Amino acid sequence: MNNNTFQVNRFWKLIVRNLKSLRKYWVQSLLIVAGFPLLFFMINLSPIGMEISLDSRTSFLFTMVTALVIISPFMLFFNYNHPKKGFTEVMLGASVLEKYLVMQLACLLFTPLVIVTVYGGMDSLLALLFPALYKGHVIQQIWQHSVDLKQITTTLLLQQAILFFNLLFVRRKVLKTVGVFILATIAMTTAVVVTISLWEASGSSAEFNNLHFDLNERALFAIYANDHPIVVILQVARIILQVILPLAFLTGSYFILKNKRY
Amino acid sequence: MIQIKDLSFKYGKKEVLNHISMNLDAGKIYGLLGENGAGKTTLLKIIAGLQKPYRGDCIVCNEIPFQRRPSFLSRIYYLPEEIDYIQNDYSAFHFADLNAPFYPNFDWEKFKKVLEEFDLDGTKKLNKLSHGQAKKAAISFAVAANVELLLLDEPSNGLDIPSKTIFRKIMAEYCLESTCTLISTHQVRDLENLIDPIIILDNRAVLLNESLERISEKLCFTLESAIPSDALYAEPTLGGYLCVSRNNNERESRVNIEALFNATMQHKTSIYELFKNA
Repeated sequence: MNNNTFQVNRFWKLIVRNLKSLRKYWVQSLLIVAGFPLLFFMINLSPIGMEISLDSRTSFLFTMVTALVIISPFMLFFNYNHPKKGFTEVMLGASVLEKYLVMQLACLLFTPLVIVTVYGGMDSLLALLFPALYKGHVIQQIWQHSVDLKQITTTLLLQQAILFFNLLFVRRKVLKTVGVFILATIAMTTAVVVTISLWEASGSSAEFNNLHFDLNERALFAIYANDHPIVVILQVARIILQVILPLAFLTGSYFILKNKRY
Repeated sequence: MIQIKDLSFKYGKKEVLNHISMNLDAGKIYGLLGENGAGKTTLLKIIAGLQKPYRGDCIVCNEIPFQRRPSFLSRIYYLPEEIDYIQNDYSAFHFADLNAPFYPNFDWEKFKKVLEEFDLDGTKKLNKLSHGQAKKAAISFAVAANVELLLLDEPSNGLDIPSKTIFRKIMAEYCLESTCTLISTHQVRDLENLIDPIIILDNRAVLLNESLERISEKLCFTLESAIPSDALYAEPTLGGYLCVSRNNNERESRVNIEALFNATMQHKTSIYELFKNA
């Protein structure tokens, strides 16, 4: 690839810079993450008779990873497009692609990896030291915990949307992003209600009530000629939400980075 | 080093720069002067690749700045007037440690020396420093980066009087001879004896882009007891009037940049024509 587009050495320097510049943030966040197993241990230890089970601890980890991955663009790159604070990043001698990939890497890989390692590490340490009070290892349990594709794509969609809006909005970005999400939810709910109403009004309510369709059994791109129109609409909506929108956010973020004026 | 041709820029519908053209060479410290809103900062941002021209060409180090290629970004450094970007929860040394790897010619020894000259502790957190001290840290990094093009927007703003003297010394002593430095300023007295050539910018044109030698060839700066009839500009001062007039008799005089600026602002067309036709 062109020297100005991607260079491994420069990309590595950028990763190192990113980790170093967010060092304090990482340490603070990880202390909080490591504190949760300790909190669960204290609860198990307390005389209230409550026990946080291995399953609960594992579910908590998944919820935390999902939540933090989704909001990680705000946490890690909040000032990236700030007209005054953000220009060190833009003036840094690396390509837009490299800067963009480091962003994605930090949000999609580093964040979950580090949370799982720190939380799991602390959890295992407590389980080794106090096996009677703190049973099982989350690190082992996570491999048995099933994560379906839908969960992953939903997390990815929300995370990429937040990355996109974090770069698009300059001021009051959290408020504006929440506003966009609320508007999108209202629009989608309205679309569903209107579609069902129209369907019922056309005298097909009985047909609609008899319709059996399981999203989990149907592959994402599987649309057949004999499919019911509602099924076709649902499948198209799935493709939009799980493929087109994440791709649009992915490319949109890149182009904002590339063309942002300061 | 910098070729600007027929460049125009708009903020919305407001035209800030209109058909600006100029060339800047390596190895000189240019002083960019202009009234408020003349577009000095905008011009610096266009040269740095932070803004895109509405029309015209801007070529810097043989590259188009807005493409922000690594090969371009590693050869220039832009120091903005407001330095919020540097006022973080880490020290000047840590700031340099983070950013120096992206400037291939960054000189750590020079960085430490310049910090010392400014009497600044490189281990102190930047967000705990005063605005002036943080600015000194930013200037130190900019100078130590050893880039081909150094863009400084109001660098002396916020510096105390001794620091302004040190700043001039540092710029004269530590900037590479091959570096093209462009300093935008209102504080011309802070940068006297440092900037040469002088660029005077107006929204509509580059009114002047000449070396001090050429300016003194064309204009005469004298102290008179009364305002001469041919004076382009005169201002009362101790002992008479500081006058700027055409140098028809090849008199030698020292350029007073502030008087030059005021004369240019009052007689835009005649000063422009005087140098254009020369």
